[in-house]
Amino acid sequence: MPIGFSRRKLAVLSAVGLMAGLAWGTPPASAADHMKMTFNWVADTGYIPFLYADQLGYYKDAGIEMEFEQGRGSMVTSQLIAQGKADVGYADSGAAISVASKGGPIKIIAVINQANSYGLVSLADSGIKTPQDLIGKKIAVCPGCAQVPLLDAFMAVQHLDPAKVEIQNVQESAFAGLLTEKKIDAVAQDPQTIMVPLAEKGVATQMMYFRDNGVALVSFGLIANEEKLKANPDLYKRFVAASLKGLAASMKNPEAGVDALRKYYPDSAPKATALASFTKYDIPTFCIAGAKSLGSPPQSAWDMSYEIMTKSMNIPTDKPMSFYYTTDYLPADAPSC
Amino acid sequence: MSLSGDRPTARPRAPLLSAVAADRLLRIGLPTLLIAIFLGLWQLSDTLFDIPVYMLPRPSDFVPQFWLSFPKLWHNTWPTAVVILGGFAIGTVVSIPLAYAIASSRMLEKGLYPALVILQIAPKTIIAPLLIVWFGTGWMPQLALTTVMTFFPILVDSMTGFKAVDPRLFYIADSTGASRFETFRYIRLPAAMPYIFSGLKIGMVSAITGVMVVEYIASNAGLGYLTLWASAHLDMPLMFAAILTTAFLGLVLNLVLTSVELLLMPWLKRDHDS
Amino acid sequence: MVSRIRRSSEEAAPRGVAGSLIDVLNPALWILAPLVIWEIAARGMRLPDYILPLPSQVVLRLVADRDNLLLQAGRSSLLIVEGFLVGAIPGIAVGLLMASARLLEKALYPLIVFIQTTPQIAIAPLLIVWFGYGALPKVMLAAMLTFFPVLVDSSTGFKSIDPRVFYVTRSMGASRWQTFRRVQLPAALPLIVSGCKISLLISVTVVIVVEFLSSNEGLGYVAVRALSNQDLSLMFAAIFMAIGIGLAFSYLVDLGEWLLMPWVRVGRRGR
Repeated sequence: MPIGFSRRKLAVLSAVGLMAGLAWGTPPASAADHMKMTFNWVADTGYIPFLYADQLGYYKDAGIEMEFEQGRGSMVTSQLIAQGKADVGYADSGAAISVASKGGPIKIIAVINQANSYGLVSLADSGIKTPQDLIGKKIAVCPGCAQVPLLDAFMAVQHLDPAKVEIQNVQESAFAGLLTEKKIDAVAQDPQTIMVPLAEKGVATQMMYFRDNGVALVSFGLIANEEKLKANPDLYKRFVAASLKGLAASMKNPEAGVDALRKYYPDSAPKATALASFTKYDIPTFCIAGAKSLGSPPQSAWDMSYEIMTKSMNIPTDKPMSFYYTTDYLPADAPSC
Repeated sequence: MSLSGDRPTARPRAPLLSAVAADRLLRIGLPTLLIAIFLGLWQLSDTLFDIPVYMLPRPSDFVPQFWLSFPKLWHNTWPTAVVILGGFAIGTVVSIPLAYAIASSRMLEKGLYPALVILQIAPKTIIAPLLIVWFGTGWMPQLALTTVMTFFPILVDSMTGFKAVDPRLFYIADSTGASRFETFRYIRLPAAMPYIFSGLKIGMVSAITGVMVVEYIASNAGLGYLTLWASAHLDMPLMFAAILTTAFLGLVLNLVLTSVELLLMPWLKRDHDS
Repeated sequence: MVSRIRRSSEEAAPRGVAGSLIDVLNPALWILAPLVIWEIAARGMRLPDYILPLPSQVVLRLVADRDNLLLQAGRSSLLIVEGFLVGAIPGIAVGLLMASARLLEKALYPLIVFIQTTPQIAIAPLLIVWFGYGALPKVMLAAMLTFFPVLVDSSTGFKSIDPRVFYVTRSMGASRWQTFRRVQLPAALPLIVSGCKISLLISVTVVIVVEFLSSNEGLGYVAVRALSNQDLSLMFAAIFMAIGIGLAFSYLVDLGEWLLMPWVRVGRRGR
């Protein structure tokens, strides 16, 4: 047997090497007043209420130091929250409830966008006017995005046979190009991300909202891990209060809100685009008819969402809607609608 | 009898198992044992390590998927396999002659090779969405990218192979009056074959990686598509089954390559070459 | 004829200044020619810049945005190096282990071949779900893809040592460390370095691809953001920057090879 370096030392070295590498990359544990927030997507107008709140010092006044993290899909963000990888998430309610129904311990603690902005965007001259026009057409949806369950529900409610409609999984970054090059007939997206930028390039598009076609679900909200909520409920109450204050402020002064977005994330959309998107498409969704305050949609909206989810999104009926969300963390003096 | 060269043996003893049988037992038995232990730990992971099942499905969750979701898995294996094989074939057909050309000409080697290295270093997968915008969401972008990714490993190893011939063999060829083609067929090609096959094996893995990445970026069929679909629908058992099926596909293709290798080069006793 | 083939691969390059000039111009031409064709063709076809930008536009963008690109390049590079080290160091160590213990090698080898033939990129989405959007999934995947080539090459390198050499070292009373440092390592070094070169480039590709699929910083992220904004000049600028990093790393390894192995003439030979 040739002489070699001690085998045991080698085995230990290898293990240490691997461990060191893993430890190096592991993020530190968060302290009590430090909160990490993971969003649903890369920086866009959805961030504005929170970044503006941070800029105005609302979180600091509430004793919270915020850390923001960009995301890549509501489903993944929901899964990450379920594992406790971040303290709070901004994700689509449909996605969050999907994860929760499979056992993920998350709760929706506030709803920011009470109306859903997603739908099928197509070129203005594509001739797609009704859902039935989609038969035989190609639709692009991004894997892991909130649009996935929404599109499934839409197809079910409109009785569209999935075999007759060609649904392609495509990375969101290719949507604009695919649409303009007519390689795809419609994309499942929201107006802010695709209609506004394309309009600026002179490309006219039209939108078929899911909410107008039987899938009126509550949309983006704040989600949190149950254990973390139990461990420090006061922190979350303060967080939600500060966030809603920021939301109200951004509604009153959208331009300042957009400036905040551009300041924190200089590579987000240009100011004019972001401002157009925010005022035209985001602000109207913060309050819907019947809502008493920001952050809390009316019961009818929850009921309708539950019905759609259980009928068309494969959410089991063993738990009521009230299992998935809670109003316990909303401030008593939430800004009114 | 000693297996380790010319060292004197210790006290001669009648072995329990013949050397060949013992070797085979170890080569098959040990890895199997390791896998069994690994699977066992995995199965108990949610009790031992407190990992929830929706995060890491246990073998008992995803193994049944192989026959429960067999239609889905089978249906999606074909698009992936076809693109892999297509890209691999085109890559091979283009790169081997090119390798020969480069190996034969110093000027070509010095000139073209750096450009090819740059092409290899470039993160080609980023172009994938662009390919899709240009060519649509069909098989064409997938094929194009797979070909480009397979091309370089095969090229490099083939080049090494063609250059590795002992020059003295050419004296023999010369003196026996062999034609250019005969020299190629009987001397250069056989000498280069081991290297070419080494490149082919790496190229095959590159082809599979290429197809996977493209499917992650845009697809509506295939194992990569199925993996993402399962992930998006939180069907972790199916996701794992899809990933494992991809691994098996790679294994099968590798085995096919190895068999062809043995067929074409029966004079090589393949022991432990990668 | 045969003699023609033989001669052409031994052909003497022209010497002197003309020779060096040709040595530089030759590859430069092959690299610039496609770029020139690209420029002319794109101009001629009047392609809109969201379909295909001009190389000239890309270069201008590269210069204009160099601060941000360099910053992101730095971030990607950090991950690339981390992934490489976390994979390569254990790879060498386990390679030595396997070379010294036939039993271990027999047990592990089939598994290693199996893992090497699986498309390890397939688990990228899984790693993201488990470990989030930070550095960890990227470093892990890069480390996994680096580990195996380095392992195989190191193991082959360590096994290639004639066992009789150890009679000499034993009879001279060399310690284990001395044997490793002065005999095993130098002998295996050429193959180890070769494995590292490949692995480093694999690490570059893996990190950029994972950044592209799901990350919030780095060159891959710049590329995907640029693509969503249909800013293809920036996207290609990021790609050019990534090529630059790859080349830089490649030269670094060549430099390391030259420093560590002065006894080997390093020719420009692909693996």
